[in-house]
Amino acid sequence: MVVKKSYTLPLVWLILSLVVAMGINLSLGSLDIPFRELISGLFGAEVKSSYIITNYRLPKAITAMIVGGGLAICGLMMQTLFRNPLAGPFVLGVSSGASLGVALVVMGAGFFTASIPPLLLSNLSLSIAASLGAFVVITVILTVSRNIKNTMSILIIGLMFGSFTAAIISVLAYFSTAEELQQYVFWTFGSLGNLSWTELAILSLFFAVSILLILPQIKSLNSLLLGENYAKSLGVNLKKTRNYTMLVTGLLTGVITAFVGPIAFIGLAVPHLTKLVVKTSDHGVLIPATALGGATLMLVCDTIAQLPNSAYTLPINAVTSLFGAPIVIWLLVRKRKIY
Amino acid sequence: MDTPKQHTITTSNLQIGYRSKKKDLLIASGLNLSLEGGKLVCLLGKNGIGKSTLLRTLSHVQPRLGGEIYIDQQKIEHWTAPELAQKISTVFTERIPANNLSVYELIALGRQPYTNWLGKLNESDLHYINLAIKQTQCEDLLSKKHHQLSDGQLQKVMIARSLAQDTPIITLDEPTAHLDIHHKISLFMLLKRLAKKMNKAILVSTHEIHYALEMADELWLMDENGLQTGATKDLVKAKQIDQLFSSDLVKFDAISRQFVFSKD
Repeated sequence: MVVKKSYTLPLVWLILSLVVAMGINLSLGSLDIPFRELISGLFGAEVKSSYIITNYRLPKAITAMIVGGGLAICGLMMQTLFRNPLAGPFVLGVSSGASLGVALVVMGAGFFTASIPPLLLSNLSLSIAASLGAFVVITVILTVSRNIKNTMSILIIGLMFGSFTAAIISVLAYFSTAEELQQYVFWTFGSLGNLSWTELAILSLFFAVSILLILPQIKSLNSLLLGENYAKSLGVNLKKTRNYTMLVTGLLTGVITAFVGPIAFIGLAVPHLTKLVVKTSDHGVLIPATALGGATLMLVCDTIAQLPNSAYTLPINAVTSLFGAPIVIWLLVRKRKIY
Repeated sequence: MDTPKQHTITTSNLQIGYRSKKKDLLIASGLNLSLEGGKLVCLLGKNGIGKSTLLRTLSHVQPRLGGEIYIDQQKIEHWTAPELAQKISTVFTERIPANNLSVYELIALGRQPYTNWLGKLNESDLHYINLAIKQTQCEDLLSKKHHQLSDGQLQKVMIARSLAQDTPIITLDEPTAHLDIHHKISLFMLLKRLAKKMNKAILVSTHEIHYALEMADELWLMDENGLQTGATKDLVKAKQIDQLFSSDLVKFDAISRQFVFSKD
């Protein structure tokens, strides 16, 4: 008799690759830090790169892991909830909401006041604007979809919100100055390295809370694999699961986008890539696995974006798609079914 | 109550159909039904008459438009969703979404109403899963993914899943549609056995009128005017079944107990 398969081995592999990716990510950059120096630096010994490690590389690597893991989990939950392999944190329009918040602050300020108060454009105010924008969109979507039974309709409503906010941003961009436009575009490039330890603590807190909120939904998400009718007949409260999942995804995507900008691709692709390694549909296994996968991929992308040994860096948002999209296309062309 | 506890669904003046803002689409109304433990009941009727709607309504997946449903003598609202999931399990006609579920995992999902918040399977869960696998004979399929199965195999697996749910009431919507003749008969025999030996109440919608007449303790005949219920032999004797298809193409032949071409 076949008893439930164990997925410990693939999980161990994922953890190992995460550790390796983190090591490489910390040691490579505009300045190479030798591995031995890195280890002793990490454990508190005073080395010449200590300052770089503790104040720049380490917070950036941790940010990358939380961002990658968080977005990947959001993507997984969206794909299960909407039973659509194309769903991801972007489709609910949450990222667009965050972008709109930032666009309003950066480019729209000219509409409301004659001159932009310099304070308004600080890092923190951008984060707050993005969070507010994301939150407004989640609230609107949850309200609009309250009386909608069909989950697919909600997906389409989310996409419409995305287009709608994108259009508003276009209008704002059309009327804004070159400087404002540039500042907005820089934000959309995404940046993992701008977080202080305090901001990182806030981000981690939100991540932890989201994970705690997701755990009770694992069972419901698993039953949704059979479709909504079977889930209902297994005693699942669909509405609750739906609202919970959307709320958590909205919150997590919103906060992540607020701190590091709109990071494309990870949320959509990592669940598919993970399922190729861990061949299961059990969310109890998939959630940690996609989180590990997302964190690893984000670290790799960040390492590439740093262009080791050069003074230049690439925008992280470009790197995730530039290197990620071909991987997914390649997988599909090889006719590996992805779910 | 008296005698061993009977698990039942009864309805009073039940109305089924689809609710919409402007106007409700009523499929059938005034249904006074009773489904009891120990009986295999077949629901017969032509396409689009509302068999699936009735099954979905009785298994609390689709809201009713009016009337009352009683499960074990209590109004359906009295029970929580997890409690109901321990009383009624269902096999639908719908396909399940594409994903990586293995057959074993799929059958094991039937244990969800009993497992803890993480869905961990304990000894008794494994017992019921293995029993369901044995009863439906899908041992060979366990390690396959559900999308690798043929329609007939998948149907067997979905039936195994509902058996693993170990409920006193089971509703099945055309469970024999994709099965070959061997598996059709073995499924009907299994359902009959479950009803008799384990005192389950089993409601099957089917187009296999011949097998239904052979195996069912009771028939529910659904047509435009509503629902006729009764013991199988009474309904045949009273020629109720003859009116099931109001068509000049087919007629019921009482000798072979089948619908046949009506040309002379």
